[in-house]
Amino acid sequence: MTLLEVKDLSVSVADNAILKGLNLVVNPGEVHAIMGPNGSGKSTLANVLAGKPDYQVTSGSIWLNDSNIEDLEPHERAHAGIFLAFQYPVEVPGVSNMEFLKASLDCLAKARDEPQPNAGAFLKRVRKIAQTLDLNPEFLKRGVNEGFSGGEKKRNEILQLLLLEPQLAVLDETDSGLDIDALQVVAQGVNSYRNENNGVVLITHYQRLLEYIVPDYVHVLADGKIVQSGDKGLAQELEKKGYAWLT
Amino acid sequence: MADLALQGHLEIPAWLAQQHEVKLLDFNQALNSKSHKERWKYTKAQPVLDLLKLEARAPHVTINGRAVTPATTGHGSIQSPLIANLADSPEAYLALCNQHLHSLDIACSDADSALIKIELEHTHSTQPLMIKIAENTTVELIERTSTENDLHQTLWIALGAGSRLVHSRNDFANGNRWRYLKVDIGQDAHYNLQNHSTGTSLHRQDIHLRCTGPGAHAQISSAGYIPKAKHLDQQVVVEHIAPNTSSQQIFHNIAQDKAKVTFNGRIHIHPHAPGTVAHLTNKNLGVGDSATINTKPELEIYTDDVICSHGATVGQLDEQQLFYCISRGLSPLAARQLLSQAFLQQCTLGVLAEEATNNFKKLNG
Amino acid sequence: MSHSVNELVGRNADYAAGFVTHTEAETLAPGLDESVVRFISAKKNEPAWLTQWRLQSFEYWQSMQAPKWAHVQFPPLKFDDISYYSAPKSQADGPKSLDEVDPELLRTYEKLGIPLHEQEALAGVVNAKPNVAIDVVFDSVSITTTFKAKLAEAGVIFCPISEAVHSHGDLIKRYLGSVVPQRDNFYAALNSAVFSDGSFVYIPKGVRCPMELSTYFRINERNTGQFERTLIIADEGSHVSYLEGCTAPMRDENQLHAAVVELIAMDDAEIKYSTVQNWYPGDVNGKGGIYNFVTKRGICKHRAKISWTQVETGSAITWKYPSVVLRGDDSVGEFYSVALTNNLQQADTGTKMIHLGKNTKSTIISKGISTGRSQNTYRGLVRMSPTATNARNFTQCDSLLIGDSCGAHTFPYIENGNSTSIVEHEASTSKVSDDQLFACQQRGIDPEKAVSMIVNGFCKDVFRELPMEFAVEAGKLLEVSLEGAVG
Repeated sequence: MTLLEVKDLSVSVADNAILKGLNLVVNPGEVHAIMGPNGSGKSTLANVLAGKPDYQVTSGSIWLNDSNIEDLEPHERAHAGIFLAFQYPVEVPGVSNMEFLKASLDCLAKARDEPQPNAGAFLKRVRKIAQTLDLNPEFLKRGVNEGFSGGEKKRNEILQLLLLEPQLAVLDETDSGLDIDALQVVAQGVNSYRNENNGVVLITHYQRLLEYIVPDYVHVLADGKIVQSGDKGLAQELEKKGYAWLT
Repeated sequence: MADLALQGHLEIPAWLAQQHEVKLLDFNQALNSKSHKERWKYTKAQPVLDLLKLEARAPHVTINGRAVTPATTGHGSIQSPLIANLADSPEAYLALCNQHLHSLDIACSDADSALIKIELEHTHSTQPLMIKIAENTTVELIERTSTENDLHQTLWIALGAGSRLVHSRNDFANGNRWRYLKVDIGQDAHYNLQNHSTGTSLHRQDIHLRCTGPGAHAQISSAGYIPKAKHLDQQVVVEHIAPNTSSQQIFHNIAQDKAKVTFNGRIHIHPHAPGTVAHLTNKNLGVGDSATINTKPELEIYTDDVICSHGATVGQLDEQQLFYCISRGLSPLAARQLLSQAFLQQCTLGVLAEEATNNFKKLNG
Repeated sequence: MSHSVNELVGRNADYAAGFVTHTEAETLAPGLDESVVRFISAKKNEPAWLTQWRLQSFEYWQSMQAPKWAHVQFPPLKFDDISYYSAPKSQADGPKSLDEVDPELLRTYEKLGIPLHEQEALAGVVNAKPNVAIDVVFDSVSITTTFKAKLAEAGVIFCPISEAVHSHGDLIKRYLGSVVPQRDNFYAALNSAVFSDGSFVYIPKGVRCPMELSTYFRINERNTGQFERTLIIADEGSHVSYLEGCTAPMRDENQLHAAVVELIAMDDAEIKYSTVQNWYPGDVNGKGGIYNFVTKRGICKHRAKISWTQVETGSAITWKYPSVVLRGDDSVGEFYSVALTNNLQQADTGTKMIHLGKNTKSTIISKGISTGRSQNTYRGLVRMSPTATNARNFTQCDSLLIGDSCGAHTFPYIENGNSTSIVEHEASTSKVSDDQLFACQQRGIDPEKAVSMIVNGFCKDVFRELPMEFAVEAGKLLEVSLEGAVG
């Protein structure tokens, strides 16, 4: 069984074709890095997997665990196991992180017919994860991403990843705007999430992150299509030569 | 917040009262409407209405340096959509009805693609002037008022699709004023008002902008200095009627001892005008004792896809800024003058900025 | 035109001689004239001065007109169709069982988690035990007795105003109408003429009231709501927190509610007044619902503080401006408000901060949420009098729109008469952003829950001012009131 299969996917945003027949297969236990120049459609891929409104699938299909998901609402896709770490995490003023995480866990549990997590155990777990990510526990009382620094926002995304334990993690330029220390913390978080049952789609502009999160496959996205695939060696090659030679 | 009463009344010309489409009743309704009473909450209407009785003459207009005579019509043109809505300002409507209307049609010909510059020099009360700017035409409008005589004046502007108008006006002369300005901004047209003025014993400015076409943009920057015991009342309405329109307004006023300044700025977003972005800022500084500053920024919004904000402040010069200046050797007086000037300078823009700055400096000194 | 008391009672089909023997069912026939005012006063055995005061108010009212400046629309009220005395309610009027109650209302009760027998009481079911709500929430009369003893020990007076007229006549005579004069406005004049009952609170000098005072506690409170009159006096250096309202929507047959609340904070005293208003808002088509036309005002003496917090989700029309007159130097006024309108509700609400004393401070935080086809207006006045030197105000006024058929309006009046005070006003209007909604959904939260969470977050600055137990319920209440807001 494949975890994720994207078949010949074309996507438009406001009538502009962005993805033009993209194919991708992710099996359980794999990490796929998607690289590419600005404007190649990397973030579009991330958003369309999560079902963001305004992204029009014009042809092709998306399958998660062999079920078709194009018609699912964003929250239903989350229930099915897709997690998107946002490139620009959204602020939700007044809603505390704690409240937000609890609501999220409760909804996921409900959708999966699992018992709601016990409040005490939940709290303990969140604190522990926060610690591993070097986040001050005080931040849990603050509004979701409200007044967070860029680095805090990204670490908060990883905290949610570790807490919610989705089947498929799509990380959209999680490395952008991070200094080297924060990058290592984030990478450690992602590495601790990895196991033989889940998968990661890692979208990045730079090879730097791949030194810490070693991918099984590297794909180059250009003009809406994957133009080259390889192993981590491809990323190093791109680092030296840039993208121009591929397109 | 008791019910407001409008003091004063308007005299309706006989010919108009006889016209069946404009009934006396409509005038009374317009005068008694909530919005109209609000517009006269802080300034007595009668002295302003009395101003309307002053004899008005044709406006002095030059275009690209040449004097021109606008076309003149009788009462008939009050059916124009630009001026049709009686309730917006019954008194402006009446000014129009009592006078001849002068109209200017401005269009750039192929040969003359350069900027068109219109200048208005007010030396007396003027009969209503309507300026229609054709599509894709770029115009600069410069208005100066040099007389110390009392005057009233109404100006109606319609901007065609894709046109641009930068409108600068300075009024630093003494004398009572009632100035009415209404602008309809068509599709993708831009209107920019740069307004600089001083308070007088009675100075009323009515500004009514309407974004009627999709993509229309309205911008106002305004600076005012109201000297001791003088008056300035600004009534501003910006309506967003079409989708994806935007407006940006900033008004700074300084009120001296016993001066009275009133600002009423309403942003009105109609249903079916999604994608509107509208912002308004009104800041007032009271210098000296017992200035009266009334401000009412209003939002009236009938659709959800909007980003809107307004802010208003009434206060004094910042103590820390003053201290900072003084610690660098400025006298307290010089520091105050510097900071007051800077406060007005933030809203002093365009071709008349230098002239305005000099006038503000004199008032500040 | 005037009627004798006997004639009036004769008009009551249910109970001919009811009022004399204090039996339970008395409803005065509709209509208002001097004799009705006299009847109400006589019914309560009021002293002559109060009867005169009511009659005077009635005279004022007759010469006044209903205000028209609010941003609300409704057909003119027919004051002759209203019955001005109906306490306690006739048994025969109510539904016989929950089966006869609007199923929508019951569904809401279920969502709020209200037990069955309490639902009966709220819905006004005839044979429900009176005051069940009190018993359930605060578990029996013994607690009522305990709290009464505790209050008495502290010297706090907390009783129906009709009782206080007799037991503390001097205080009532001195302060009734001292903050909201009889002819303050049309509805206040009406209330002054015909007020039914309400609360009276007196906190003695230097006393910190040992508990939150709540209308929940009060006996015989049901059905006095229509023309409620509340008077709270906090003597020098005292402190009291008063809660009004109920988070469950009340079934009520009265169309018009015109209450008056007067607060007096003496030197160094502090009054915190919290309201959750969830009267029947009418159905989705705007049929029915309460007109809530309320006058609330407080006066602060030196260094005193009055803080209003309100959560307004009910009523077809809300017309309400809890205000503070900052008369004493260094006094403080606060107003925290959440107003949510759905369907065809209309709210025109806000505050007035009248600064008279030196160094007075006021804060206004208003959050308006409109959805459905509703209209939601903030209207406020900040007045800095020439005497209010170095006074300060800060106002933050935000609106949230959900759906493209509703309206959100902001009408702040700022009047500044001196050059040493500072006023800052900020307002914003926006919708629930698509990005926020998507971010929540991506974490598995369904759109309805996401919107109510975002709205709750938007209101946080106000909820934080509510007493703890109210804050939780207010959050739930928003969720219920927002139903149907997300398409």
